[in-house]
Amino acid sequence: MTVKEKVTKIDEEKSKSEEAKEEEPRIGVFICHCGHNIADTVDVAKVAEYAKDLPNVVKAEHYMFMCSKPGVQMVKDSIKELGVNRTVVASCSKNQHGRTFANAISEMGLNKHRHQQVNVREYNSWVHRKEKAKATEKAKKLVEAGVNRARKLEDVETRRVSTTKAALVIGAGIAGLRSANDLAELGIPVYLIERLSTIGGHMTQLNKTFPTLECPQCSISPLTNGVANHPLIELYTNAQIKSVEGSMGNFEVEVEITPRYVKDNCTSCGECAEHCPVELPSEWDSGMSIRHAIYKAYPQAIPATYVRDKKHCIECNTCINVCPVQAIDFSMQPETKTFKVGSIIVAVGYDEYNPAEIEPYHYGQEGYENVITQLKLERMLAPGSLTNSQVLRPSDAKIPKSVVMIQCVGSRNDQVGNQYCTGVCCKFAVKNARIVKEMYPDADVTICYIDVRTPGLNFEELYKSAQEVGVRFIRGRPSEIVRDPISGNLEVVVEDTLSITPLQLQADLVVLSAAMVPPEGIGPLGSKLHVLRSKEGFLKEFHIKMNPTLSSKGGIFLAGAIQGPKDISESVAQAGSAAALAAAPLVKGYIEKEMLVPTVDFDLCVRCGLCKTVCAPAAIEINDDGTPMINEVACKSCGMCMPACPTGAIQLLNFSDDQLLDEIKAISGGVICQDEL
Amino acid sequence: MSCENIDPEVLEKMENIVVFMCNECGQGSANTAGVARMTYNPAIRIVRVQCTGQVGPIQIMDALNNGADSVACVGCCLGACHFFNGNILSMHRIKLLKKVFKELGYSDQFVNQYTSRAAEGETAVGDFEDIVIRLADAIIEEGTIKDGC
Repeated sequence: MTVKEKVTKIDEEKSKSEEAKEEEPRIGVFICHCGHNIADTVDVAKVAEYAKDLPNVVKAEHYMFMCSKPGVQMVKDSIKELGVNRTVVASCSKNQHGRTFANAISEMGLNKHRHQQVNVREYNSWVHRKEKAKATEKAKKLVEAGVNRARKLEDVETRRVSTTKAALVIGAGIAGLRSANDLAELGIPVYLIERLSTIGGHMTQLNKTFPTLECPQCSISPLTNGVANHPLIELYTNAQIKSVEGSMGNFEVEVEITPRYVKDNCTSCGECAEHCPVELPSEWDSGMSIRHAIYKAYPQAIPATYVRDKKHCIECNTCINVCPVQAIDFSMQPETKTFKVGSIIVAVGYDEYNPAEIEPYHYGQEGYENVITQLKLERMLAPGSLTNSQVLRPSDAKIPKSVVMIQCVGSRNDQVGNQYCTGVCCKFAVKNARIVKEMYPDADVTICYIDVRTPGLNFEELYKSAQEVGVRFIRGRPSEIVRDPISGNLEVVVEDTLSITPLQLQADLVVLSAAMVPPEGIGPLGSKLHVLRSKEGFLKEFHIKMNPTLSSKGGIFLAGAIQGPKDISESVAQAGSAAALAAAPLVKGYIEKEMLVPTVDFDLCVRCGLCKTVCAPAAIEINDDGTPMINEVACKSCGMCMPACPTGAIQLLNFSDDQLLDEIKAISGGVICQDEL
Repeated sequence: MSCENIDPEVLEKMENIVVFMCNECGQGSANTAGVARMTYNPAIRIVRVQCTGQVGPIQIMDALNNGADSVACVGCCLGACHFFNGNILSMHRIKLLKKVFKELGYSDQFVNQYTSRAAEGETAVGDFEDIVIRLADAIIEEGTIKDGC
């Protein structure tokens, strides 16, 4: 829409609102006794008398119970008999009975938003019971403020916005799979986008899941298979979000898909990988094994089609020649697809913290090969690993006689900037320590912890069982890992803070319990989605208690570890919640939205764009000519844009500076003086 | 220091304290305080706004200009704003406004920012008491804002 069109539109609106203004406000004021609750403290008759003399007030009455049927009837009658077009009820809070009266006037054909609720009970009579005179004075002022406010109240229309019946799930880890599956089960077509070549995420990398020591591959494979074969789910691997437009109910998402260079007729025979001369450390295996330039991440991987790593391929064409079904095609091109969806679920998970940042632990440095992370240990222990499920020292492939695990690496650490507790490290460290100790009863397994945090059902039992098999727990954060320059042996320097003893623990293998951190690339993704992030870098939920699943933007939901560190059960629970919330507007087919939105006066607008910078739900977009455009569906009616505007060009309906000024004038002791305006 | 120790003469000078309370935790906590029959100074007058982020210098100056003795904004706890970060925005604005007040030669205690929790009426009442105490100190030191006008 060009500015010209917009201006004409605004002009029309202005003339409309001027028409509305011509209609003189006729205000009905009703003061409730609320039995003894208000009337005992506030002299309601005096307040009614005071209200009668206020300008535009045509009726001011007090009644025993305004919320009772006769009370509501009084309000209705005043509309019918006296032509009251705005009502003020001074009684309890807006939350309690504001809706009762708003519904009553809407039954009489008035817009709900023409009702102004004045709270003289919770804010007045109940809190000033001993100061009756002052309470009455205060009630008068509150009622006057309410009348002033009611005078300029405008109609707010409720609009139905139809929604696109499809959903997008970003990330095919356990959380993404769960939400995709739940959405599809509700009959909603789902586009599932995964950045990597396989689905399943971190869960497929694990050896055992706590607390029951179950096999994660066995738990997740029904879900991965189900999602891959679901008729309503379209799965795109090697895909990344390019842009996201639109708002709640109607998004348009552009996705860029990198080809696999292997066609779907691949039989997954593995001939190509066998003959590929390129060898690289496997990312999926956390570098604990090798893969080729054409590869399948792991045997059970879904999709089972092989994938070519274009970056490392030397294009020797061996694979093309050996493929028995001619599935390999180097000429495939990246493609961009556009999806129209109604809801988006972000389930991009987490990354394991890279402990190389913590200098005293020397992770990843030469001579310190025996310092590994828990994920690497999981990969070593997992079935079918290079070490044949044994724990071996990476330096010389010997079975370690002593294993030291260090907790809180990258979490609860101000130096690296992560104050939060990841919450799952204690659990997986205890689990892995127990597994290692049970495998090698002669080995010393020690956990250096700050606090062991194993809350929840079955976890304390897991901790106890680890203690029982002989895992040693030392309370203290190790200060350093030192290496004997001659023998190459590692020692962990730690103070046992319970007995105040400095210790040097011999360690054949040091396992760092690295924190969960926001995944790489979350910054660009967050800005494409227009969702806000917490200071730790995770995507911020709408409200930590009341809606931890919704993001800062309506229609975009969070599932799993992207909202904060979580274990599998918590991720699955949140994924289910995200699916239900995302499905609600799609199943219903529409969103009902009260158009309590700001309007922009283009004559005043200086095109500075400040309103956009404060808009949390990203409902304001800047046109090419610099004028703001308000997305009425995305707007949450918070009014934060109003003070940001240097010229007062942007005004929230029914909460404009002008309307608030009227209320403030009455409440702060002044009276409306027309000359001043 | 509690409100009880304030000189009644000073208390009498407080006629109108305008408190902008957000629609969520602000209003919620004041409601809870009312339901629990807590008490506070009757000079406290509450204005309902959508979010404390909606309150700008215009509203605050309007209030002071029209006879308010002091103005405060009460929003949700930091990190728990129902509209994402309105309370933090408001905090920044009030911080700046305090500087302006000082520059103009007024006490910076005439405008304050608070948070409260809907489930706890004490938080709202505590905020109100703090407003009164700070205002009392300012009045004793420099007189009311009306005297300064």
